[in-house]
Parts: sequence; structure tokens; C-alpha cells
Amino acid sequence: MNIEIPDEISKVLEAQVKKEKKFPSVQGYAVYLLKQIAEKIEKTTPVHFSENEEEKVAQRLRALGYID
Amino acid sequence: MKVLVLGIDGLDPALVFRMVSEGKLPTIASLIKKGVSGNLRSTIPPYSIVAWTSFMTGREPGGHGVFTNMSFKEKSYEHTINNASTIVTPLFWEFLSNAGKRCLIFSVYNTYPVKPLNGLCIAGYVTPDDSLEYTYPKELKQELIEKFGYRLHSENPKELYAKKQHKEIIAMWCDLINRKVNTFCYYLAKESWDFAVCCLTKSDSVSHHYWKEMSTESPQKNVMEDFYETVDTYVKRLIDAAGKDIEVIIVSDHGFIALDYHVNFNNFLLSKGHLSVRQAPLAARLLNKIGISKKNLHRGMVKLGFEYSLENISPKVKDLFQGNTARNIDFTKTIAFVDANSPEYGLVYINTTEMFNGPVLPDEYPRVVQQLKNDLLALMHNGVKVVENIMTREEIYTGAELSKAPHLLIKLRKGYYSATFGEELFTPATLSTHSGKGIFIAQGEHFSTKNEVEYEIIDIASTVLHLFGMPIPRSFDGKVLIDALKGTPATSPIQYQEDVSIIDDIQL
Repeated sequence: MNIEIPDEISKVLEAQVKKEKKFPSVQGYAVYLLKQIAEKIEKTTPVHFSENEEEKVAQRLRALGYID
Repeated sequence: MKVLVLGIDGLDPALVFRMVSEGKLPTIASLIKKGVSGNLRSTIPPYSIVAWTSFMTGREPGGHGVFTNMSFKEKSYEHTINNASTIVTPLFWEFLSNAGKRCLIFSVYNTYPVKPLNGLCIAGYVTPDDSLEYTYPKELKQELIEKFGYRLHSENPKELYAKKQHKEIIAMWCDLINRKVNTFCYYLAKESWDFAVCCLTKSDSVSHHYWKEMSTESPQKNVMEDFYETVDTYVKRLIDAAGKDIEVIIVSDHGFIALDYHVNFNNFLLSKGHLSVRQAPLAARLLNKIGISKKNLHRGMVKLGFEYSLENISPKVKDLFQGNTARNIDFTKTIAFVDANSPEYGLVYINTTEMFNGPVLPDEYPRVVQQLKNDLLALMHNGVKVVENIMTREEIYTGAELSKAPHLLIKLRKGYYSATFGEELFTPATLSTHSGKGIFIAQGEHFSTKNEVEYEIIDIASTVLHLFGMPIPRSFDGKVLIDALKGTPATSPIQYQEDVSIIDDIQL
């Protein structure tokens, strides 16, 4: 995937890359930042149980009278 | 400072305080005598998953987004079962963990899927199955199983219950709790930690099944008291394992109450024209025509020795033998419905365009609310009003998740339980259910001595953070229980912090 980074953003990233000297390129730095955001998004995205797992929980809820 | 929270699901304050006054429960009695004790108001409604989520997040359901065991899919009548990933806000021990405090989080309701933290985590109830990865770190699971035979779940007790093998049921449940207590004691003693929480959830099942027996002369009359005595020994073992100089807090998410009747609200809504059902499948109508219903099929199966066979078949097949169910509601013609059984409050969803793409438009909403209130408030049974009060969701909840809440909350008369459909509008209840009052007991160097306090489950998170000298997120609904504290925490100013957004802690 190729993403076009607007000039005003790439200038900020370039300046940070030169200042910190931790990343060889703007691309490396952008991937590093996006990776952190992707991990955060993954952590806050609901995980749905499979049909089989849902039925196991439903059986216990049924036994205690919460669902029919 | 070390803080140990013992969460005991459904531990009822009235029963505990009565037994203590009779000289029973020596460990809990000693904590009450030396510390702070009283009632802990649960959430509305007092479902375990809702109340424990409020405990963990310091927020009312409108803030954390868990209102019942299930959530509707977006603009749909289909459900997903809630789990820890449904919670939209941080847990209070995540603030402790981020500040370098080591946390042991054991068997807390609604902690699956587990999240990484500075410490150990064993997920609690709603983890669907023992085969899943329910610990952090994940290698911990194997150790629990090898050392302690750790199990998340026991077998379904229905067959034993049908055969009236009550001693075997209690023994099975106590065996499960014992394995957990052995495990928790081991890590409390072995690990270095600052904050620990250990929850016991099978106490809820015991109460659902045996609470009612206390007021009878049945052979199971003493099951509850005997079980509470056992709980007292678990409390002693856990505190002993945690070591000296700890602050101990015992909390329960709700208490218990005996039930007389289920109110099958969807029958009522159907009779008033607020709900519509599709015609039952042809097979069901034919069975019904020749007189085979769920009730008499069940009786026939029992006579043949297949006590709970009907419970084990698929819902679609089961529907052939019963009357109306949620599965044959005609939502195109339905104004309002009750979606699941619930304690203390009936939860009514209005079939709005906004929430479900349903037929109730925004300008019709106030009239629908008023009509439903009028009809429901007039509901009578055996000469008494069944509904004490009805509130809109805006009157009960605040927070970013308000739009997921049921629209109306019906406060029921004591002894009644909100259900969906039944063979009649009122049907006799067998199990007992949750009441809105849990217990609070706290003892340690930083807790004062007082009793008969009235606190809320949302207050625990703020109070623990304050004990550690940490700031309280401004969006927490709970308060610091300053009147329960003494020494430095009682005199230190309460610090607050702004909430962090998803990207606030990105490393630049």
C-alpha cells in the first residue's frame, strides 16, 4: 500500500527524524507511529465470541434464568 | 502500602450481619469489628456483569457501556454477549499498573479477553471455555492447571439438581472454589505485589438455587448459612496468604432476594398492542392443536425419566413446543419489547428508528413513552400494583454510552422478576435473584472504625487510587470514601486528572 503524506505533515516528520536521529527515513518514522496507533485501535476494538463460545456462555446464563 | 480486595459475588449484607450478630463468621466479624462496614449499592440493574464492570471502571453503566449480559449489534435486534472488550473505558488497576504498581487480578467478572498489565491476570466469568487463553502472561495458565488443577467452570448442576443431589452440587461448587482459593493464596504469598483483587463467583450460583430454602423447613434450609461459614474460611485463608500490614476490602456486587413471580412483560405488551408476533411455524401450530405444549411435553419427559432433556436441545427445536419467544416477535409492527430477564428492574426497549431502524420516529417517542408508562403503572396482580416506578434512561444514566441503554427501566415490587414471554402473564418463580444491595467491609491501618455505612460499588475505584496517592480521572462517577479512611489518606487532598485519549501516550 502506498500512502501519500501531505506536505505539511511530511515536513513535521522530516524535522523530527533529523532531530531525534532514531529513524533512517520519514517512512520508517511514519510506520513506527502508525504501528502504535494500530495497536491501540486493536486493543479497543470489541472481540466477539464465536457462535460456539456464545452458546457456552448462553447456557450458563440460561441456567441462572437470565435468558430463555 | 498493599491493598487486597476480596470480591464475593452476591454476598448478601443482611445475611452476613445477622450471622455475625449470632456469633458466626469469625473472620468477617473481626474485620467488621475493627473496620468499616455496611451496604454497597449495586448498579441499575444489579446484574453481576454490570456491577463488576462499574467496580473496575469507577463508572455507571452510561459511562462504561455494559447495561446487561448482551449488547445489540448496530441497528439490529441480534445480540452479542458482552465481554471485557465491550468496556469502552480503562480499568482502575490499569492506572496503578502504568504507575509501576504490581497488580494481581484474579477471577474478576468480565476480564476476558485478558489485557497485558504489570502483574498477573486470571480472567473470570464470561470466559466461555477452559480451553481458551485466559491468563496474562499466557504461560501462567499451564502452571495453574499443573499445580492446582485450576478450572474456570464446573459442570452444569441441572441433572444433579433434578435428582435432588444437593450435597453433591455444593461439594462440586466448593471444590471449584477451593482450587481457586488455593491458587490465589499461592500467588498472594509468592509474588511481590501492591494491589490484588481475588473474586469468588460461585457464591452467586449457590444463592440463586438455595436462598429461598432458608425460609422453609426443607433439608436444604441451612445450605446458605453453611456456605457462608465456608466463605468465611476462604476469607481467612486469603488474608493470611496476603501477609501482614495490608488494607483489606471485601465487596459484593449485589445481595439476594427470594422471588415469588416472574412478570412476563412481553405477554403484557402483546395484550396492549405494543408488541406483535409472527404466526408460529406450522409444526408448532400442529403440535399445539393436538395439545403438545412445552409444559405438558416437559411433564411427559419427566415421567419417562428425561428430566432436563428439553434444555439441551437447540432453541429452534425448543420453539416448536413453547409459545411466543423473542424469535417470533414481528419487529416491523412492534413498538416496545423486553429483551432479557432481569432482577429488580424490567428493561424496556422502544423500537426506535434511531436504535433499531424500527417504526418509532423521534417525534412519536414522547407519546410512546407516556403511553407505555400509563399502561405499565396500572399493572396489577393479586390486588397489588406490580410496578413501583418507571424511569427513562435519561433519568438514571449519564455518559457517552447512554444511547445503548434500555429506554425505560421498570422498578418492580419486591418478589417480582422481569421476564420476557411466559405461558401466562405471571408465572411462579423457582430461583432466587439479585437485590440491589451488596456488602462493603474494609479494615487496615488506613480505614477507620464505623458501621452501617451506605456506599456505592462505583466508589471502590476512586478510593483505591486515592489510597495509593494517585489522581482520580475526572470522568469517574464514584467518589473517594473519605469518611471511611483515617491517617494520611483521610487528610491528603484528593487529586484529579484529565482523561487520556487513545493517542495521548503515543511515544514520539
